[in-house]
Amino acid sequence: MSRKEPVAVLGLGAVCAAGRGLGACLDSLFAARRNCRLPRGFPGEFASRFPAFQVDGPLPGDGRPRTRTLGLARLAAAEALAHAGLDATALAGRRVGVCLGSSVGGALNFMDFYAGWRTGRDPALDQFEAWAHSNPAAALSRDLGLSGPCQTVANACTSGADAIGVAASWVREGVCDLALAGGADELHYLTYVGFIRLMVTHDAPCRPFDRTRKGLNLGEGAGVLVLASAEAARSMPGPVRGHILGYGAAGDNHHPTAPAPDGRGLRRAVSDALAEAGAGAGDLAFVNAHGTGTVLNDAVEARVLHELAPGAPLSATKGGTGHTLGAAGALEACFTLACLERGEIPPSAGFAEPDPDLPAYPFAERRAVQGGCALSTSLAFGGLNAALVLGAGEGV
Amino acid sequence: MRFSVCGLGVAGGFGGSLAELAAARPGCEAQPPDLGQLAGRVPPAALRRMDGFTRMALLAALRCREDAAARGLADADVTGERVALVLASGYGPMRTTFDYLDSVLDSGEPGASPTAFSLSVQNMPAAILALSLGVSGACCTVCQLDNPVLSALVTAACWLAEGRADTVLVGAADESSPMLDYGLGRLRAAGQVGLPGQCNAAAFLGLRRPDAAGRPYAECLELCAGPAPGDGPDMVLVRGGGQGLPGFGAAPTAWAADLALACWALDGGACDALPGRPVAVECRCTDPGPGRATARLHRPGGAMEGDRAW
Repeated sequence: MSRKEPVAVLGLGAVCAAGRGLGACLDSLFAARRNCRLPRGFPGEFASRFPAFQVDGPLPGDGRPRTRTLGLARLAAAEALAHAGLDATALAGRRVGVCLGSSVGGALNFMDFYAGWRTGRDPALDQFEAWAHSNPAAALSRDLGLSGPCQTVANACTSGADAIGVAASWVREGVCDLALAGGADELHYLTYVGFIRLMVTHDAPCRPFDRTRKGLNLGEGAGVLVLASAEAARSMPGPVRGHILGYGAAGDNHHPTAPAPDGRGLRRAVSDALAEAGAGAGDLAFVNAHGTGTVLNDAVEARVLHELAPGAPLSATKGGTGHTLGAAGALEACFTLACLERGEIPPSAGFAEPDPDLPAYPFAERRAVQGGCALSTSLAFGGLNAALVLGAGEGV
Repeated sequence: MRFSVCGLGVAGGFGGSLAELAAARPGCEAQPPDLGQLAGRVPPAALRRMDGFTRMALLAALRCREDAAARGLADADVTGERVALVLASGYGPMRTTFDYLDSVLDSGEPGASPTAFSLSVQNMPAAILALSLGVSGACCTVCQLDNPVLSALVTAACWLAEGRADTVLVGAADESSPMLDYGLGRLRAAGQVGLPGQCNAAAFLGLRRPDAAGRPYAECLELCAGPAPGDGPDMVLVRGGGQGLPGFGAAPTAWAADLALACWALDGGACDALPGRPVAVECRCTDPGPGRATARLHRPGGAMEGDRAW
């Protein structure tokens, strides 16, 4: 992989259980707060045993049936555009793409509607209608009246990182001048039950990389970045907040559901992202790890990061956000850029005791970091791996 | 956005070849594909673990790979780290999703099927395809009702242009369900327009950079959301407004069939919709919003005397 032109980041937006807005999320992460509770509104017994990270309060709607995932995406996109100093008027006439990752956003999870149909009743149409009109990228593109390319990346837990990598390619190759890129996912009952049945969910707040880790907690949220070509960035009202320097994506080619124990796909994804960025391990201020808190994920990641980024401080934020699936890579890209700007990483909530079998682990306390770029990694079901190298913005 | 199309593969109720797709009759969208040809191509144990959606997509992908080999590509051109895969779908693996819903509704939380859940995750078909095909480059699933094929192609073309992959296998697959028929029918009855249709079909296109080896079917010269600038060729395939050619009908992924047929006709294949061996074909999708698209495909090597031209 050869070195690529950096893509500018003009604005960031984030919403998750840690907070509404990037600033609120960072306050919560740096204070090691954990908004992890038994989920509200779910039927069944699991909801009395398995906690999750849910976003409080209502989400923006338009008076029509729409999914919660779209509401989260709208909230993060509005913040990212405002952060960039852009509004609908500023976008008019420009080639603006939308690339959002989602694991739940496009899925046919209309359970009540389906239950009614299969028993021969005429169920209320709301759930089905919400699905038909809530595809995250398409709906956001329609909301804003955009005419550029539009893609919902459904790559499970790497979706958000992949969507940013894809959108950066679009911008670099001149497909569009600007792109809204990121990911969004709601905490959906069917996903919640599915992960518990896969026996990868912890019945207490998760402990990424800890010796006693037992699994993940699901969360919900959205992260959106406004990307721009160098030329478009020069004509924008606000400063450049960061850069997408490199992206790598590779498959394990090992097993449909289990990660390759040797981390071969992650190794290639990280190597490719660093090569694209023209960066070496010594250039990294820190690494934001996927760090789900499952036994297998953290073991593979620790091994590969110890090998490819030795000495780089490790940060794991899912202890403060939960695993937000398709949003995770995008939220963590936002956190990574914000931490580069602050020159510090938050404590990795949930981590207390190093696992002697893991060669790398994060910090339990906040920590100052130095450097102009950082790595963010994502791993997914199906043996997918994605890595982003993110660079600081102006004035850092 | 330039790339060449170096292999084609299809599977659907119309049959398993481009000639059969070109001759498809209305109504075949509802027919299931004959997946018997997977036997001997895929180990039985692996096949048993795959759902119908994945099998159908895999059959089209294998045919595409075989076709590319027949047109001069080596094994190393279609397997390994330098090959990427993008799978586009409107609905994703619908039946496994409903299998999972059935397990939750019938057996409650303790009986919810973890296997059905994992197979219902929308990137699983692409992941299983990559594993079966020996593809270990980037792998992306696109799931949306608004022309998922356009965005899959745009992404694939970018990956080729920036050297992220040397070959990108771009697939499109959708399966039908009476449940979806019912839901879409009710939305239409409620006055909603522009909703997609359904099909049981898959198509794969093998893409390479224009200067790549082999004997490509066609080169794509323009690929854009909305209408292409300037004059187009005189041979145009138009879909939109719930209308499409038989085989894929008005399914969200139907644009892949138009592109495959255009490539087929540019290479001299017989196609009623594109008679007279055209030199250039413009494929348009006129659905409103993010579904609008144009691709201009040209026979490799340019126009020849007596051919239809732009």
